[in-house]
Amino acid sequence: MTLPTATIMAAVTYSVFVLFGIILLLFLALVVLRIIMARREGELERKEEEIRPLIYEIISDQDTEKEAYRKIRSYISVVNRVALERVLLECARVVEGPEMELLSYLFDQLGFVDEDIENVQLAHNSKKAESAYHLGVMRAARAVPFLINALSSDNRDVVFASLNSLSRIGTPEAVRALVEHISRDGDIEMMRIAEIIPSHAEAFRPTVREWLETGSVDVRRQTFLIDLGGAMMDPLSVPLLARYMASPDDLVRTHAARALGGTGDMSASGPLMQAMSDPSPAVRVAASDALGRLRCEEAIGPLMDGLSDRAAEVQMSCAFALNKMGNDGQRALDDGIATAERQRAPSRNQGQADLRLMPGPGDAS
Amino acid sequence: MTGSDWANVVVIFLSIIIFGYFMLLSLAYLVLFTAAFFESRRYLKRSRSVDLREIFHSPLAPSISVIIPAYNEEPIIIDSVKAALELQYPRFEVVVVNDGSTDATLARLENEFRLKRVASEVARSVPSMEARGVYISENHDNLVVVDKPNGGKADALNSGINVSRKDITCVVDADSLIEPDALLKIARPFIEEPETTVAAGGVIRIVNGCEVKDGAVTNVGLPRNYWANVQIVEYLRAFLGGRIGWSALHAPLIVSGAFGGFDRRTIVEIGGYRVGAVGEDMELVVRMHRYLRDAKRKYRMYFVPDPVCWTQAPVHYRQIARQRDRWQRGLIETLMGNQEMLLYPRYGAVGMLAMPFYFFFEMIGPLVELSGYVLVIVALATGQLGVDFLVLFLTVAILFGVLISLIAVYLEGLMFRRYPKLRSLGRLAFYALVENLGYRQLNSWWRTKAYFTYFTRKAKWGEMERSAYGVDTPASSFVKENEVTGPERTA
Amino acid sequence: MRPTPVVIIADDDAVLSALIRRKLTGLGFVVHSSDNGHHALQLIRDLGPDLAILDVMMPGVNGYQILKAMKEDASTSNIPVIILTSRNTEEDLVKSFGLGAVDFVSKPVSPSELAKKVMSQVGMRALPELNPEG
Repeated sequence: MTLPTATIMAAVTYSVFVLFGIILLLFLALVVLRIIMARREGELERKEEEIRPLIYEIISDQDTEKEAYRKIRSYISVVNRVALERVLLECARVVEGPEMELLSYLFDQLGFVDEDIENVQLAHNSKKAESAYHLGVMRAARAVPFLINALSSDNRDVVFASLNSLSRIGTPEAVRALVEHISRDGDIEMMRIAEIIPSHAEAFRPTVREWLETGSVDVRRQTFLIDLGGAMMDPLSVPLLARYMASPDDLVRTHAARALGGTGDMSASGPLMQAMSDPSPAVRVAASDALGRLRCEEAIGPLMDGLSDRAAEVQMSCAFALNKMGNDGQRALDDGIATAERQRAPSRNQGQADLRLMPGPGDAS
Repeated sequence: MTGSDWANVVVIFLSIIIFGYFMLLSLAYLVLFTAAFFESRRYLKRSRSVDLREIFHSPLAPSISVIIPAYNEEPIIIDSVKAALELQYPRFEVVVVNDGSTDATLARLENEFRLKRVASEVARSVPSMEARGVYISENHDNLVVVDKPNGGKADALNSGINVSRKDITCVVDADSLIEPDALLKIARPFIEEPETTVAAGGVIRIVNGCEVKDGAVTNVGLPRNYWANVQIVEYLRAFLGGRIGWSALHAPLIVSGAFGGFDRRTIVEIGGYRVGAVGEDMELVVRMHRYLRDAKRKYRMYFVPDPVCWTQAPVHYRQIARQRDRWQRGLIETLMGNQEMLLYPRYGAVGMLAMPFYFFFEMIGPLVELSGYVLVIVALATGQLGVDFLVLFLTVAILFGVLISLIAVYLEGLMFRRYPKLRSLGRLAFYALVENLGYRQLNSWWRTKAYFTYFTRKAKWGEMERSAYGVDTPASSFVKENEVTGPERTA
Repeated sequence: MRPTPVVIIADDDAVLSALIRRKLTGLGFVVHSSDNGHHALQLIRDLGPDLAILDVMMPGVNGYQILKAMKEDASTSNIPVIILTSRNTEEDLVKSFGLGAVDFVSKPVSPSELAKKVMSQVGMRALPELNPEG
């Protein structure tokens, strides 16, 4: 029996050629694409470079709106629209005040706002999100109704970009829509909301306080609400948060301690100092972190005691907290360390049991 | 049948296997590249409606611990820590773990950062050696230094994890150059999918040939050195086809120790890094997959394709060989240690696709390749096969490899354009060719040798662990400009 | 005040830097800018400007460190500094003024408002012509 060597070879050769062809084509396609893209990008960059000086001049010289518009129309040809938009956007990202108002006017008059509004309604999702985002950068008040509509999209990026833009535009109508949407939708990207809310803290504070009052059965949402409460820097929320310090769940207590530290209000120091004797080490860690954040000098005493806490992580967080409290704190820390060392020296065999820590999401600093 | 007929059969049989190997490998890479392409495109598109600065202002952005394990990093440790402290992120801390350095690493840290000892023990959520001391800094309130006896990188990382209290654990090499907005980028998946994200890796780039100022890359360029260049091509292929591709297929197997972020809670749950593991970064990730899938939890591991970390590639033969040897041993160890996962449906894409791929192409692959070369030479010499066969073999073994590397280079050029000049792409293309004529074969050789090292070498604790740190280049060759002439100078 | 007062801007945001520079130049200032902390500090030491605008977040040396270094050096300690930053927490405010900055501006910035502040600072400093410049 002889093997059909020839056919095997042929088959192998054939398949090798086919595969080779595919790979080669792919490679060539990539090279071509790359070259095309390099050209396009290069051109765009060049146009942007040409346009920039004029735009900078217009912004700096504080031309009137009409004057600025006229200049742009006469010096920048229609061909460079894309470059123009990019330059204007990059300026809009960094300025505010009268300069931003001028830019908003220009975006509108030049038709960019209309374009983006159209995209927000009709384009595919990633373009929608991008346009929604740009409308915020442009502070296009006219776009608010359309952005509100976009909130009912099922694409998260679109919704978030719209929320973000509504927040930036900040007209009463926009903020109202924001608050409404966030209150209604229980499952919205929780952490991302926090990026928007603080810039409209006043509008949101009542809502957040309400949430804190009612609470939630879902632990995850509960802890999120507590976190949010802390982020609002609202003195009125301190008593509400303090109530959570009595929760039987130590995860909730940990978050509450953390949030109290975030409020930035000294009235939170009372409940926090009490929490320094909480049975759970994670809560004590959060409380000491929070006291450090608040820079509460009254707490120097309890924190010094914490340096000899039975849990090592509490010792550390107290040290951190004291370190943040300026000269008094640091001196107290030095004293405290010396004392703790002396206490520790005789009984060196205090073995460290492997503590199963409640991995509280520590934070501070 | 005669003896030579048998020999013929054997040769043909083996040849088919070897041909099949190379062709399958190329096909697999094409699939991975395609996945990587779409994934990168999606990421870039989405990035256009995100402003990283907003994460920076978010009061609920998860906090991050940047853990830097250090063993005898005296020349670079201060710069490294300073660069880490300058990272742009709202709430983070830097934890430096001095793993029993025998040089002045700790002393320099003490000096520069005015360290104050605050505790002598550390609560241990994951196993690690007992610390000798924990220090905080008087002038930086987010710096912690842990001093401990030498225990190896995995142990040092665990120690860092024990000390850290933040939501996300970010593991970094002492000689990695992290971009200032890297933390913002790596936090994004954790913010956007807080319920499921457990790990996020960054892309590692080679810094040789780039201009570096104050711990930041100011100008991206290509080096002159042959070794560095072929490694650049290699990294591009590995990252596109290895990391991003697999991440797109929901099965990333490696989150590099040079820069990777993990959910702290999850790391603690699985017991931290495995002390003594050679490839501790891969070992951790595979074990995490295993644990989470066993527990039937929904989870994702992401790759941030936008470059975030630069590392120095070794440029001396012996250093490269040693590094590759170590990587291969790590791979063998992890795969062998988790063979139960192979082709087991419960482990999803990880067990059914990624691990078999790594097992077959990365682990066994070098052996196959090497045998291929040997076989061809022998077969030709003994006249078993003709020139046409040789041509076919060379096409499959070399030409395909070249094309695959070229595709990787151009794909990167299309997506991220970190090497903006077209000319650089041309140079890289040249090295893609060169890589397959010699470097690749050398690699197969090193990796095959690794088997022997793996099976014969008993872990010499100190020596092996020492070379587990960073890249095997003398730390003093760390590229940096702008010596400290700034504020520290006394007027 | 010198006939052409000198201002140094240290900010790694190219667009913002350019806009501020353009604004100030239009008002008659001589402006030097840098996107790197070390370089900026060097410029300040070499040129002895009438005012420095420092961004906090920059590669290498950040704005606070530059400010601190300026205050510790007799030749630069009198130069008024305006801190520019995208952070606007209470901590940053306290820190800036604590280190001796004369003003604090949070991003996004209105170049014209900033210019007003610059002018008032430089104008103010002109009066006590007694202390030698630099």
